[in-house]
Amino acid sequence: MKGILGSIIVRQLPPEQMTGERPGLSSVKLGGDDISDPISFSSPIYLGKLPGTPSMHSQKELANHASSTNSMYVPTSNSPMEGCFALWTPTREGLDADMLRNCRGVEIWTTDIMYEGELPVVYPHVETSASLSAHIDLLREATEYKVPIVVRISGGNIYQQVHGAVEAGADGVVVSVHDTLLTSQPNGIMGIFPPASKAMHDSGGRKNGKLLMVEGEFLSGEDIFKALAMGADLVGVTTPALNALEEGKLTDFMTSMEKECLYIMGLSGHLSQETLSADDLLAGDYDTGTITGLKMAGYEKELPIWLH
Amino acid sequence: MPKVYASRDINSVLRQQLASNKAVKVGGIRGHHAICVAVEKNAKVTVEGSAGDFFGALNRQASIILVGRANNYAGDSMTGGELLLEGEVGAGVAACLGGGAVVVKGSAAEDAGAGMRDGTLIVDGNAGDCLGRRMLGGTIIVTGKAGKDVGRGMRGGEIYVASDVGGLGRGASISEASHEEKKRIGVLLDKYGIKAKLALFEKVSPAEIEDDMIRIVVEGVE
Repeated sequence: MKGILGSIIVRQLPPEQMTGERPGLSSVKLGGDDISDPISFSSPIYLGKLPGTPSMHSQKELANHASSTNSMYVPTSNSPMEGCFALWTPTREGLDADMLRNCRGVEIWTTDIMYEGELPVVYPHVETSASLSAHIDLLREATEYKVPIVVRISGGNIYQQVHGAVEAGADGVVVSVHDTLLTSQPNGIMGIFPPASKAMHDSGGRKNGKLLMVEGEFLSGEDIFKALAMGADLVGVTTPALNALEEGKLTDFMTSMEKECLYIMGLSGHLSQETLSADDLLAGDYDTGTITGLKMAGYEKELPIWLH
Repeated sequence: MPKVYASRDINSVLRQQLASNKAVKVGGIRGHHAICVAVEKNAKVTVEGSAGDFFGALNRQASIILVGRANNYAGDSMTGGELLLEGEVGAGVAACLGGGAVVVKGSAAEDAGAGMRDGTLIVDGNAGDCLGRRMLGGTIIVTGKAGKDVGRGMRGGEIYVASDVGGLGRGASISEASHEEKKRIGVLLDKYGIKAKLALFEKVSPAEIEDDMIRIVVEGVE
């Protein structure tokens, strides 16, 4: 199956450079040393926030799956489900101090879209990094420094928003295709990675153990591999997971994704996702090379080729 | 130089004291964010100084008094108890209030009572723009003036303003408060020792639903 990052090519190592060892996905820790209950994900794949309003039954099933596999599901609204984050939304709907005290983590939403008549009106919730820092301070105190706090950015300049969230003290930053782009075209999805990854590096987030969580319609283990190599620490699968759930094949789908990702890791000469980098990938066409900054397949050079 | 404590230290001591005492006093607050938040106990807490953002937020049943000014979002998402703010407050006081009472003895900046679901906000002074924006329920009483866009997008609740309303927001309408409503305002103000001329109060409430989609459908039928 061709994934959403299909125009990116994975570089296979020559046999003489392979180690002969078996690769494995290592666990990923969300939350710094000042958090008493950080989350240790057994693999870098989780169930991301779905677009639209999926049924509560489906959401509960996804939450149960996440809970039983030591992963996470990001709900679309606050409800007492195991394995979920509490949502600090502009309306605080469904949230109270008890939920904050008992949740696994808190996710901050930075804007809210409401409808006045037919037209969407976006209300700012958190406008600056300083303001976001105050929200994080509040949630740290309300949760008594137990659980990680992540920020879901929304649209605008991805670099600035990710940078601001790390600066404000978030443990992780969620960049979702569904919340940041008005398109699901692969070119747009690829465009998330370079600014988000650079912002994690420039802000010191990468060095300080903050996580970049990228969510989208990832279809295959190959997509997961590419997202990890492009800088994501955790990859959230959205609609394809819901489709698999509706067909009664969620566990198979998630397992096959992990297996495929491991298979590609093995062929590209990596023993865990921690050593993946953009050097493992090549751009399969000019658009991909321009957007991602990856080296062009066939040229082994970044665009514009005449500068190298 | 005196040691400067972080919010975490102050709240930690506060929690310890609340576990053993019924009344706690805290001094020396200088712009600290998130002081006295998510207090579970039914206790009395008095704080002196200048509070930063989210003072008293997520309070459930405590009676909290701040002697001094507070910055933005004081009393955010409270579900019960009382928050008495004896000084001016920044933006978004009592935002998303789900219960209890927030009383400001001074002026409040913009977005006071935004997204309120229940409970009472009293401002004994002037309120800034967008008072009660997207309010869903509860009561706001302002003894002074209110700025522009009052009640923008409100879907429920009521706002009573004693002096000028700078302008109504889309989705809000204004009328004179009824005799019964004025009596109820008087009772609430008396409780906190606030004096105001009840005869002057006007009421801002959600306008008749004017859904563009409904209008289009009706026009289509005609």
